[in-house]
Amino acid sequence: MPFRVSGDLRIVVSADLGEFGPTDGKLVLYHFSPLYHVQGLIPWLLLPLAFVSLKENRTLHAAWILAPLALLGAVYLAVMNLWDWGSGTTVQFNVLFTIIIVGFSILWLLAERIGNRNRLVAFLLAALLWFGFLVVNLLSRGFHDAAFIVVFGGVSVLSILLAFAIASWLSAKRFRRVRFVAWTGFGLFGSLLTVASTLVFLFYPSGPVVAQLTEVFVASLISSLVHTVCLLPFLVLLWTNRFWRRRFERVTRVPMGAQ
Amino acid sequence: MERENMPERSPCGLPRCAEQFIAAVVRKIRWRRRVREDVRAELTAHFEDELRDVTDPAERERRAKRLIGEFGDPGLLAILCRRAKKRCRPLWAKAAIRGIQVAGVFLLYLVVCTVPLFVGKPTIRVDYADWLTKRWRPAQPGVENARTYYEQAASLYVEPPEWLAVRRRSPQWTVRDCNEADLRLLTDWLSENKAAFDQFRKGANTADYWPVYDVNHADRTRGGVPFMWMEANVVPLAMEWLPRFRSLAMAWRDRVAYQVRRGELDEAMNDSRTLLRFGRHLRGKGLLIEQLVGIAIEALGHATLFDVLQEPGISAEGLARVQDELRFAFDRDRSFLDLDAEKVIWYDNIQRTFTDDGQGGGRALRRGLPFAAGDWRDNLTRMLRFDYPDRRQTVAMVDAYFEQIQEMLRIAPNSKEPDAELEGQIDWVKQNLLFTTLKPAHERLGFLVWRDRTGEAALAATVALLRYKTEKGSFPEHFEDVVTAGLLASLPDDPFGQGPLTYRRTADGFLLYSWGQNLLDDGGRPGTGQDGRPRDWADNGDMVFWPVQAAPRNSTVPASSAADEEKMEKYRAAAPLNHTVRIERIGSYLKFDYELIGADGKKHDLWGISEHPELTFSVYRGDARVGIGKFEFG
Repeated sequence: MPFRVSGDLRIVVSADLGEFGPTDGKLVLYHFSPLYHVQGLIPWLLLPLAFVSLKENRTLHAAWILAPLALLGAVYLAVMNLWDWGSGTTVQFNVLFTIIIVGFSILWLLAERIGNRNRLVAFLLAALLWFGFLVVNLLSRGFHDAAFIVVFGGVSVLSILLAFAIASWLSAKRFRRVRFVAWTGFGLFGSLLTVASTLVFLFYPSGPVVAQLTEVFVASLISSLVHTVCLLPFLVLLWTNRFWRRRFERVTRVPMGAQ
Repeated sequence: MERENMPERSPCGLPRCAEQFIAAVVRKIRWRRRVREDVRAELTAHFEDELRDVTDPAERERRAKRLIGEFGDPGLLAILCRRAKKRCRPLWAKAAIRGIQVAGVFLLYLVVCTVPLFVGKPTIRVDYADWLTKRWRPAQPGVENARTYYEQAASLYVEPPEWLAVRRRSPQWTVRDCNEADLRLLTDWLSENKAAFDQFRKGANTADYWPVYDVNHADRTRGGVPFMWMEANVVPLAMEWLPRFRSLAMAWRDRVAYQVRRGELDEAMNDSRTLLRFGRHLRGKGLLIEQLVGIAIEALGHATLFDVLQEPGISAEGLARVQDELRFAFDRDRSFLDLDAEKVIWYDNIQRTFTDDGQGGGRALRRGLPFAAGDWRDNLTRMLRFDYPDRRQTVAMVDAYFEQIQEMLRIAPNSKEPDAELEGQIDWVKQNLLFTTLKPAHERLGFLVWRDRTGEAALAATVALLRYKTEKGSFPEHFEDVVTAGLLASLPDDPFGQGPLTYRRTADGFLLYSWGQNLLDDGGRPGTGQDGRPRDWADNGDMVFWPVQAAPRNSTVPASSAADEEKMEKYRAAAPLNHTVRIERIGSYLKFDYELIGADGKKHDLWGISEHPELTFSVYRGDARVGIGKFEFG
């Protein structure tokens, strides 16, 4: 519901029923409390909380993380306006956007606390936090469409983390930006393919295996491309801004040197 | 002299003996270079620490030897160092190594599990091609096989000239209405096929028919196939003749139509019966594909006979002969399809892909997996447990499957509960992967069988009604009158309706129809195809047998069906209908579910009233409209 709308609402449905009944249906009353708007905002509120509560983020440089977020948000809105996918699908995509993009931003704001540890521990900690954010999103929606969100959001989160871990590990000795992006892309594709095919064959084994594998392969390829493009603005920030560059080096243990 | 007394020193400063000891330990570690270098550095540092404050070379040598003595055997030290290194691995490395070890063990186990699939040989005990030939061959020797004549006829058959072939393919073209030029071509072509037709008639007049699968076992290009042997050897034998049989049947239909045009009605009636017999010969014998062609030819025979029966002046004797031909039409226990050949193909595949213990048992070999396999999860679990269905279980599964399908074919469409499964039915998705793909096709067979059976019963009833007219001067008022008059043993059932086929006397004759695929009485309105023309067994109307339906040339729009009318009547009864919404809050979103409620309080379907309803909602706060939107389907 738009923010300005709350209180006692009356809903009227209309359709031409011809000889069988009136065009307008009876009024249906519904009380929409202003607090309901806040419930939908809870995941977003974690973002300013990360700035305020963590000392290392109380600097203007940290706010640069909002730049890729804003850019991707604008692109997302444009795409959603271009393709009219219906309100139900739009709402589901909104949640996925929040989980992936806002979640990734929050993760980088918490990066100082996650990094500087063993790679595996850091990976597990990041996964725990990101999945925690996913659960917060579910809570804010009363677990509606939980299966869809957990499957698609979970696959994305896991794949991005795995891809980052792979790219960081392979760039541990020598770092090249293009190579890092390529490894991230390959990592995403590999992770998506592995996770998606495991899910598909475990829960939806129908039709010929080759056809299903082809579907999963194509879907993973397209999905990994989309994910890589979405991660690019963040990577650009992490490599160009001195503050974020240092954080990137500490968390991933990638020696960027004089790039 | 001094040089001789000087102890040997390595370039790095450690006495030679220490260097040699360190090198020996490092060599015996037998691990990664990085670890060896670590150990070398650690031992070197240890010696250096010990010798740091000693400058005298002899003393350094002595201390180094003492230290070496304290270390003991280099091999033992190397083992200790290796253990220490392993113990100090980071957690992730330990987890990764354990993971790889577990995966390796699993992989190894999997390999062990697959070994039985590659060990052993099948034993071919039964020649199922021969078994199939004997299956339908009469026991007494010297019986003539109609198939011999059909094959001769098919060999002698001459294809129509190109021009006529093109004309015949058009649905608008009929022998009855064709022009003189076409008729001349047709006459010549039918004359050319006289020899083929003679053999064809001989075949139809022969009492017995059985398919023959004479496989040339010496032909290694076919016989060498290790599995799917029947598909490679027997099916092609059938497929070699079936298209020719079909062409022959179509030519025979044209011959009958030609006779009708020339007014030779008795000959036409006799030849129609010949076509029926040909179809009946093929029906219920041999491979499924042969039986399906038989059913199609028999249906062609029915259509041909219906066409002939339309002609005025058919003799009572001619009608009686046809009725005699159809005397088994109402026998419900007759089997229209026999799936033994299909089952035997499975048996043969099993004998070629399973081992044989001589008592009906055995286990699946590599190629036998698909015949014993369920879905992939089931396969994996069973493989890991060495618990694949053995030969006996697989054969039992095949028997159960075909028994179930045969049972399904026996149930008339009007007796089937929508979406209901037979009691005690097996879940084929889990049982067998191949059955899962076969089942929809096999289920569809039931419709074909009952269609053919209904056509035959309708033909028998039509002949009886025509005989009634010949004898009594008019068509009966009630269908039962035909039975009372002794012209029909009983009324023919409508497997798609409720009770017998629907009969109604009309001003210019009578109407005889089955309720058709939709199982609804559409009042005798024939079903139509997408082009609006009557189509046999279309699911939007009845199957009208009499009067014989001629395709209306100009009609393109199907009339609204009785079912639609009935639906509208239901809406009228429930009027006034009211729109309403069910509201569900999802966080800060509201989800509206549309509902159409009748005066009776029941839910109704908006799409039944309009195919493209424009369904909108408005949200008001006070008197101000604060939102508007459209409902989305789904």
